[in-house]
Parts: sequence; structure tokens; C-alpha cells
Amino acid sequence: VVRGVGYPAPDHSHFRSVDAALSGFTRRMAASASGRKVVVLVYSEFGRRVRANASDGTDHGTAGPVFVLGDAVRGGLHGEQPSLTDLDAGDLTATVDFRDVYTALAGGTLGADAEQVVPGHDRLSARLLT
Amino acid sequence: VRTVSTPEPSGPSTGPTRLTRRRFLAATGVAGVGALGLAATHVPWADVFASMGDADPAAGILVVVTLYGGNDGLGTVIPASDPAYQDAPRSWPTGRGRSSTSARASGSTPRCAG
Repeated sequence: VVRGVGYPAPDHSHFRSVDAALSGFTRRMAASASGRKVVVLVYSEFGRRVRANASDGTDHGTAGPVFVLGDAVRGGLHGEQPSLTDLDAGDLTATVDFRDVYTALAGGTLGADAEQVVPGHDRLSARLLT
Repeated sequence: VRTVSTPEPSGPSTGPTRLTRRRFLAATGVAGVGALGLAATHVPWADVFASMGDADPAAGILVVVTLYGGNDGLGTVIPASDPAYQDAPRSWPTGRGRSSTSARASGSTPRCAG
């Protein structure tokens, strides 16, 4: 659990820690057959709004990136970058439904019946996981 | 869950049916992910942990990392290819990252080079 990745963080120093921890962990996992079954999901408890508030920070927002790491993960950006102009009351509009992420990992990684986890949301599995 | 944790009368094996992680998730996930935690409170954990192990060799492991504090996605995966990006920073917080030349191709914050 990493705390305090929101503003103010002008040099993104928290992400340096996140990057180092996750890079080391995934490298070690990739070195063994058991480790290659491990998939890491990284998400933030909430997103941030596009524009600054009066304190030069950002208020709580909606959409945000989710990182998925592991030997079984197809690398790259899945989904579209959110538009900076087509906003929903000042908030980004998500381009990937989080339920598709959950379903892909519940089915592809944990072996659950994806259709039973969240019916109708098995749209990401084939692209996200090998 | 109680049904899954007891031997199935018509199972192919003559021994007691083992509860695998795959079957546990399939049984408790019927009503969705949110229901999984709720259903889990009614599980006899000692029995579950004793029988889960690595009985299913194909099952993977999911590690979930929560970033508390609300990460700003636009400072993490920078939308450098969006034409609006060139104008938007005037109204953005000064702390939000700018994409360096090396990071611009991937769109990641320069601090996430790994």
C-alpha cells in the first residue's frame, strides 16, 4: 500500500518508489515458474479532476490509469487516452470499464467463471492476457 | 459455499472433493465481485485454507496494490499526443508532470522509467 501519490507531489517522487518496488517484484516473479503465474493490479482509490483548484491542486475526480503487470500480461496501452476536451462536468470520461478489468483478472488469472463474476464484461481478457 | 466444501456424491474421485481456489471463486462469485467479500464472511476459513493450498496447479495469483491518496492519472500517463495537451497545462496544477523527451514516446511520467 502506497500512500500520498496525490498532489502536492511536484517531482512524482512517490512514483519513483512505486516504480522501484514493482519493477523489482516483477523481475523476481519472472524468474520462476510459480512467479510467472503472478499478476499485479495497481489502481488508485480515486482519480483527479483535469483542472487545478484554488490551491493549485486537484479535487477528487473519476477516471484514472490502472496498471497490470506480470508475465502473462500483454504490454502496452489498452484502451484510449481520455479526451481532455470531452469532459463530464470537468471529469475525464473513462475509456475502459473497470468491470472489464475485474472480469479479465478474475477469469484469466484466478480461473473464475468470468461470466459469473460480472456478466457481459468479458471484453478485455483476450487483449490483456496471453 | 457449504456445498462446495463437502464431498460431492457423484464426483469422479473416490476420495473427498478438494476445494480449489478456482471452485471457491466460482461458487462465491455468482453475484459479482462485491458479493465475494460478503459471502466470504460466512466461510469456515480453517477448512478453506486447509483445502486451498495449491491444489489447482493452473491457478494464478493476483496481487492488488492500492494507491491511497488519489493518483492523478494525467500526471502519470501523460496525454502528450493529445493536441489539447499543449493548451491545457495553463489551467493545470503546477505539480502535474511534464512529459520529457524520453518519456513522451511512452507517455509515462519521467519518474517511471523502469
